[in-house]
Amino acid sequence: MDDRMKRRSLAALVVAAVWFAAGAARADDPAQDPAQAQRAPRPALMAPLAASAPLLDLARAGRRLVAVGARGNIVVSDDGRDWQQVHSPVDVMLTRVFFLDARRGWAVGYDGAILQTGDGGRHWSVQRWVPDRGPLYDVLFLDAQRGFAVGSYGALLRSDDGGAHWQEIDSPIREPGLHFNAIARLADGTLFIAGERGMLARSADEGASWTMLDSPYRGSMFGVLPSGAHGAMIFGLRGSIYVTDDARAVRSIAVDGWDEFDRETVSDPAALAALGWRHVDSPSHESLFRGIADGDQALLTGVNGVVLQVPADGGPVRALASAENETLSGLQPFDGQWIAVGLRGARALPVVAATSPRLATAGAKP
Amino acid sequence: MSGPGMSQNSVARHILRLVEPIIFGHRRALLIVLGVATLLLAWQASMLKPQAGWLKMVPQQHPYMQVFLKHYASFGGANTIVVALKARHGTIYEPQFMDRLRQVTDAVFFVPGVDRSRVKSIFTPNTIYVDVIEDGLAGATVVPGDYAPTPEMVQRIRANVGKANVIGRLVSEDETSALVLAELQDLDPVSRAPLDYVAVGRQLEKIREQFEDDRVSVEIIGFAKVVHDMTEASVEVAMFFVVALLCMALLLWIYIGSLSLAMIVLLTSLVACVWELGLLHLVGYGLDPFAMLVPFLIMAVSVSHGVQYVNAWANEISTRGATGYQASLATFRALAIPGVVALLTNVAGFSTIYLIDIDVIREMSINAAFGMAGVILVNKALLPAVLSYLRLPNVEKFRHAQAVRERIGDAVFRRMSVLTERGPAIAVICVCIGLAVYGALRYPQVQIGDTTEGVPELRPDSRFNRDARQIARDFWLSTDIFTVVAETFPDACIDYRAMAEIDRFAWYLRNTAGVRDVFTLFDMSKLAYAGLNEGRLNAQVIPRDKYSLAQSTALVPTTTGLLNKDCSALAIQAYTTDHKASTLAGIVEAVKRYEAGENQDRRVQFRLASGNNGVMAATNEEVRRNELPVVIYVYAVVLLFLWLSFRTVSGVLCVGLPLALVTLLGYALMVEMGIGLKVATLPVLAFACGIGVDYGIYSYSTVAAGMRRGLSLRDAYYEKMRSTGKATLFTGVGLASGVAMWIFSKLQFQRDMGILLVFGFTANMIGAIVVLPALAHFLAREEYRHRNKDLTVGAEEAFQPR
Repeated sequence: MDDRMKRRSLAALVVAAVWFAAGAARADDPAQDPAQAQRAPRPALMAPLAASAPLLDLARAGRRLVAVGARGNIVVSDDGRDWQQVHSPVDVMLTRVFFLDARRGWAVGYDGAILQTGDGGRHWSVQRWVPDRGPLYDVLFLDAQRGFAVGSYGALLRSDDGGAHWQEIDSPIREPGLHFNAIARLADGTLFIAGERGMLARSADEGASWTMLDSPYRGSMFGVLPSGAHGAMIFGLRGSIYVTDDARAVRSIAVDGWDEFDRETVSDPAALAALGWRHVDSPSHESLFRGIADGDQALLTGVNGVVLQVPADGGPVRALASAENETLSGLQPFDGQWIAVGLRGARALPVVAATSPRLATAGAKP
Repeated sequence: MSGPGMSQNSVARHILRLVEPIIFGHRRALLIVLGVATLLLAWQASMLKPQAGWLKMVPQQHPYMQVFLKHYASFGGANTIVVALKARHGTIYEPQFMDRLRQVTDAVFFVPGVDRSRVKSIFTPNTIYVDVIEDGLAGATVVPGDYAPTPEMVQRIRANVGKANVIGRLVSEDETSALVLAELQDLDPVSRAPLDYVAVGRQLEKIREQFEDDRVSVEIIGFAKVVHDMTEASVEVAMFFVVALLCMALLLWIYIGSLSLAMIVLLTSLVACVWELGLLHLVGYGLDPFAMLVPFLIMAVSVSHGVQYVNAWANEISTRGATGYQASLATFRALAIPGVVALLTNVAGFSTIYLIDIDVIREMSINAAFGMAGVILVNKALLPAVLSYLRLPNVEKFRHAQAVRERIGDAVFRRMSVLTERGPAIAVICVCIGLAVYGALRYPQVQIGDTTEGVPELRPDSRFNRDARQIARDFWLSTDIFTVVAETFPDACIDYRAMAEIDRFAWYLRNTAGVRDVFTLFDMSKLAYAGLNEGRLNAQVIPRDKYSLAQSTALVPTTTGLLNKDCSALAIQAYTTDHKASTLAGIVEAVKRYEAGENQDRRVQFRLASGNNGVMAATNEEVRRNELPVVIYVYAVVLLFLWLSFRTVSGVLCVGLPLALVTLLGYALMVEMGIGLKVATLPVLAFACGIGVDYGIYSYSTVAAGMRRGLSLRDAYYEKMRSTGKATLFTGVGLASGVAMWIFSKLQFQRDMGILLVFGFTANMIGAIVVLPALAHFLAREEYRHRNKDLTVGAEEAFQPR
């Protein structure tokens, strides 16, 4: 067989193979039976109204504001007024966005999606996509390599290569199957998870092992913020806020001993103190979804556009007047004012800026 | 003398020989038959009912309309009335305002036809907010059961409103306005009797009267209110008709110089209207607001023909001393053929609009044809017969009055005849060319569809449309709804992929230019799902899991008109910024683009279109498709009749060119006045053209007849002005005054029609008087070749003994 013959038969083979493959592809073409097919990520529509659709979270990448939200929308702003949508590789809801520094950031959302950016939010790529799994609710990176993602029904993932690969962490705290709503790193490096039905957990060894905590509250906790050198502030359903000065010292509980249907809210101050928590009285009973802290005070936002100013030293909580009457889910200081995101997208909250000069001049989120 | 001319003459003679004996031979029998027929038709006409059939105004064969009709039962029942209370100062969160909102909610509850289970305001028990508690959900009404008009309670309501997802829907974003929504049932649930929209509208107007003051304004919109306002305006039209009648009577009196003769013309013309309306009811039609134009036209056309006849008749008597019978016969022989030809041209012109596949236009075409039958019968049978019995009351006085008028007229006409000379003719034609160029430049800018804000039936500054604008400013809903139907498979509501595709499309549509808001099943199901999940914003999604999905979509009732019974079709309702044709065409284009390129789930098809703006898009497409053909057909018919009438190129051009110029300028006028080409205005072009040709035929036939007798063009024109030209002038003014009242109609389309018709009639009159002679200067020499082929056959013979 000379070279030419060989080439020709090779070509015939290739044609046959392509034809075969095409036929096979037609047989299980996802368009024929979409219910059976694995859903592929679908880029978000580039939409003029992306910045006024529901936005779930807001973060700072250096000077730039980056917000993520419904339908996979990602919008950025350099001045807090004008927002541009950037291309997003998914069209499912993104629930949280986290920036390690001015360039490196991650966003998580439904269908187990994890997106990553290396240029401060301009371009995003898919790191993880598992459509048969539930949504992820929060993401945290300790450095450029080590990161955690938490989500529904006890989803707890970690990556040691900057998000290129994600592994499920095998931990007893996942056994009750409760939603993990938030994960944060406290000032002393302790990792803290807040979740459904008062579920709380901490890790003193950077996520290697996790301890379930006894909870002061039987409703869901939606967020956790560092408070002081070792403390944490947790908040959630119906405006509940609790503070501890030392998260390492709060009472733990064996996972076996946890029954989410048998838990009671602890209201006796002495019993609370025994758990290691302090209840914070608040003028509002609206659920709180997201907060931001600078060490000695925090701003919390949630249902009905409520904005609470919570001093870490136990001083009285103030409800700041806000022009909003619908859910807010994220807040960032920016150039002397506050930028908020929520059900109606991104907007400035000038009233809050006037009443909280100290936080307003703070930099990026701690 | 050529063959065709001879045969034309002899054909005319044959026809006259056939018809004459019927009219003049058995005059008494004829009058009795006509009298009885008129009485019968009057009885029929008296049973005619106003009928605003909405489906008639849409192109039912259009593919969009097929989709619309297919899903009408599921989605079409969006027959909502909206009552907005707006605080003139401050916000709605004042005890006094809240109290009034409660009272209005109660009042709307008792409006006839209102589905009481679905009245919605923040005071109704179906408006709940979801409060999440540790054990799950707590649904509660936005206004607590222990409501009392106190400041504390009002603050509680404000907080609840924020959790009920009603901002923009029941409460305005700036908190100064609140809505009461109600659905109407088309049929009474007990008696199955159709709902009386006028009664509903009247009741709503009472609510406004009761609750509006210097602190609170009340805005009301809804289909029922449109019908009410339109019906009120229709009553006005009857008044217009009376005014038009009085106007015409006065003009006739001045023109003929005899009140009794004027009355004869007026009364016989009314008979034509009776025939038209009677026949209309006889074949089973009602009188809709569009058809109301036709009696005005019929009246005007009939008067114009009647006045020609009576005028000629009186002239015969006063100048020749003929008897009434002789005069009538002579007039009949002179005018019957050109008159009938002109009228048949009208009928043919009107008939062409029958080609447009929109019922209301077809009805108008049939209606006009009936009217024309009436006009022919009245003017060519009834009037000649009646006049043959009459004697001119006071011949001497009439002659004197005639002489005085003629002295004035003759001086003017003598001057005008200069138009047939070269210099003035060139000037006139240059001006015409300039106007034609202007018209041709404007023509491409003609807007298809409605160009005004608000409901197109009513004027933009009507209370309804002012209300609609205010409500559109305060809330997301408006009167402009464009619905896309997602057709899919049964029980698609539990299939995440199908639902996600529809939700993605809804978001795509929301971001399309011209769309203010989009409302779908998911606006409610996502909220329900989030409610079931602690009210978390991050749970406002379509759940992937089939059971959760079923749970969240099942919470949305089919009565919302957002999905059908087995969830095989979903409505995607887009509220549009306006209903300009370009806006709707843009949305149509965007939907087609998504369906062709973006849709990844072939089990879902996005079908156009429903909602009032979807229907309007279909209508616009139909109008655009028909616009040029209609004009071409009308002109083809008109030119054919002109050729048959005159058998000269000159005749066709001298009448046809001014007509074409007027049509072109009509388009320019539409651009200048912001009138769109739509169902109401499309037939007007044909009407104006059909009647315009009438002037032309009368005018040119007299000029040509004069020339064929050997007169110079200038003399023939002068003669024409003295005889039919005067009548043309009168007719132009008469026709215009007949429809001029329409400019004051509260209905926008009647106003548009009125403007165009007044323009069409006056411009065509000017065309026949000014442009026609100028053209004749260059073209009419041809008529000399037809010498002695008289167009008024046998008129002279009437005076010879029989």
